[in-house]
Amino acid sequence: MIKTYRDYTGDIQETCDVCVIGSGPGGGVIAKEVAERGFDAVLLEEGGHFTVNEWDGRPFRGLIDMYRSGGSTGTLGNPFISLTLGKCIGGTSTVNSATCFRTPGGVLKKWREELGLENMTEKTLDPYFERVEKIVNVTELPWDVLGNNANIVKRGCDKLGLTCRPLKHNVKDCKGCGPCQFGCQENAKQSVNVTYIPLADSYGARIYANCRAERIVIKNGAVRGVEAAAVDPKTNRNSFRMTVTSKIVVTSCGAMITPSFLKWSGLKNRHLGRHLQIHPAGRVVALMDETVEGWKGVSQGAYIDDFENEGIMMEGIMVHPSLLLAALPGVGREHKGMALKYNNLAVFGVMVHDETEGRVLKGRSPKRGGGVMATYFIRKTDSDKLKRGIAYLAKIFFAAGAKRVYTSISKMPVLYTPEDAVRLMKLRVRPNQIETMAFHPLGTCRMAADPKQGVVDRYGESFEVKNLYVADGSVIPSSLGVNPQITIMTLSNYVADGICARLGSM
Amino acid sequence: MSDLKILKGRYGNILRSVMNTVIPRGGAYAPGAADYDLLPRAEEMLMSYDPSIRGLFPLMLNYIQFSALIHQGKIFTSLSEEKGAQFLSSMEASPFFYRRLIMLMMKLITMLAFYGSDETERLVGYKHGCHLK
Repeated sequence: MIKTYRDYTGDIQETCDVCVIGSGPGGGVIAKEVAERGFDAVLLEEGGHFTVNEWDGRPFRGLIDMYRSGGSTGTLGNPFISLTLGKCIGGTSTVNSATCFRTPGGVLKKWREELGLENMTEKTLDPYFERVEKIVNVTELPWDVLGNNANIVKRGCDKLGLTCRPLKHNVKDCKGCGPCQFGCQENAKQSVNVTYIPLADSYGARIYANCRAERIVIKNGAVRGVEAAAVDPKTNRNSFRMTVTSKIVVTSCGAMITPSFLKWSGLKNRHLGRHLQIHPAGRVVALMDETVEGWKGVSQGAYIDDFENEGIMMEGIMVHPSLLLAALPGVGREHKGMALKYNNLAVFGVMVHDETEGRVLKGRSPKRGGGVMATYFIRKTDSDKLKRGIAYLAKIFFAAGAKRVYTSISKMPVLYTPEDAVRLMKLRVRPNQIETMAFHPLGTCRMAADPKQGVVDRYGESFEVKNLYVADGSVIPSSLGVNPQITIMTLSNYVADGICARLGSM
Repeated sequence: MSDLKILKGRYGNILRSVMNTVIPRGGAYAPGAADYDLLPRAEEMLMSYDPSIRGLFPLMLNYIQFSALIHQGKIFTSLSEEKGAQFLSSMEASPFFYRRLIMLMMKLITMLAFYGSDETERLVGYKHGCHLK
């Protein structure tokens, strides 16, 4: 049973083998794996618990209920980059687009060579990938379920000799209802909240939603437990106290929160919060003559990786009118004219395999509600990749028959001909002239063989505090160039094995 | 209306004026922001934001109100619909990133509040819920 704020009537004391903080793709996997092997697990989640009957699938309610700070989080720099994070049971997996990729072989090689992570090989990880993919049912959907948005881009790619492929998704019986990012309306998305969390629950893990960890209790260089508080979802204020005594603590709060939380718990590793990589992203919107109705289909259906060598990945993304229209130029009657064309719009995104490294700062204390504070000054090389990716996508849309293309580049917001796309390619664009978003924070507690290079060892245990593990996007040592949820889940499963081995020897 | 904390008084008036300018009555479809009570929804959205961003919002509204005085000769709430739209369009096309960001935030709050019901979604041809049902 998952307890929520309305179940709390007073202070809570818990004793367990493993206390997991965070219920996303990292924490959910750990809780299920350790509970399945007979260990006593307690899982704390700061956000609420929502089910298909409770979310309405619209951005307004979804952002307020299921996203951290209503989706207003981001990184400070040149420019401010919006970086949305899930905050609910299942974490970001509950509100993502269900896109699944394995860790690219080249990335694993880099980790082995640069950080001495000899265990990061396909041979070692393949059984973990298979296990995770089976549980979340990674599958390839047919083109008709992917919808017109994907079909239009495929048509443009076919004309230009590029390859547009269907993405793999963690879904079961998905019929392409549309808005995946605010809770799957059909429960088809096999996110952590409908897979790992119910499994953890069935194996006896005790799960507390609306419960914010405040600090890890550390004595003589080893963890002793966690101090937490129930959070009133209406006010976001801490109320009843919760004390967990545990042999092992696993932080799985995500790459934007984990480093801050560990700093507030007294950790001082110099890499803590550093090496933040986020896959900076931009969007391209095409106005078509034909009716697209892109919302009838999977919101992120297809991808193009022909420009992978340049560090550019392209993925579809169709969103609700309130989000798409806000991003398009036009105020007043001009906006209304554009709004009427919503069903003629096709949208695709560009994501950059970034070289830039940002930093997560200590931020506000969890006792005062916590919060994200991070900097990320995008390098010119990365913003150039973003510009090129946007120009490539514009060419693809024109090849597919677009009448106009809207970019996220303020210096050239509207393109009217394929020649404009060529001009955009040559245009000098400053980073702050691109409206940039990000969805994949990684690397802020990176894994390394040597304590001089990272925060956790190759099994996810902190170099600084015994029996403290990290299992989330923060341990991933570098940008992946692809969506990270399967990598996070796989590494977490690997870390869970190490935790079980440790518990067995205690 | 009395429950508003951030958008009470003049801040509420400025945002209401911005919303009515972004989505005016008439044109491609009849209803505009003025036909709905959007301030409580905007307030609810703002209350979910990080306190640091929430705290900046009144400053952003003041920026719009008084920079209109410099660019258009009148504070924003005194501008006609046409002049107001001109001014907000100029913010949207500004070479200065944070000026564009303020405008993006205003549009986002307006759109989230406005296009959040079956009735307004239908205006743009979107049908909420699984279209296969």
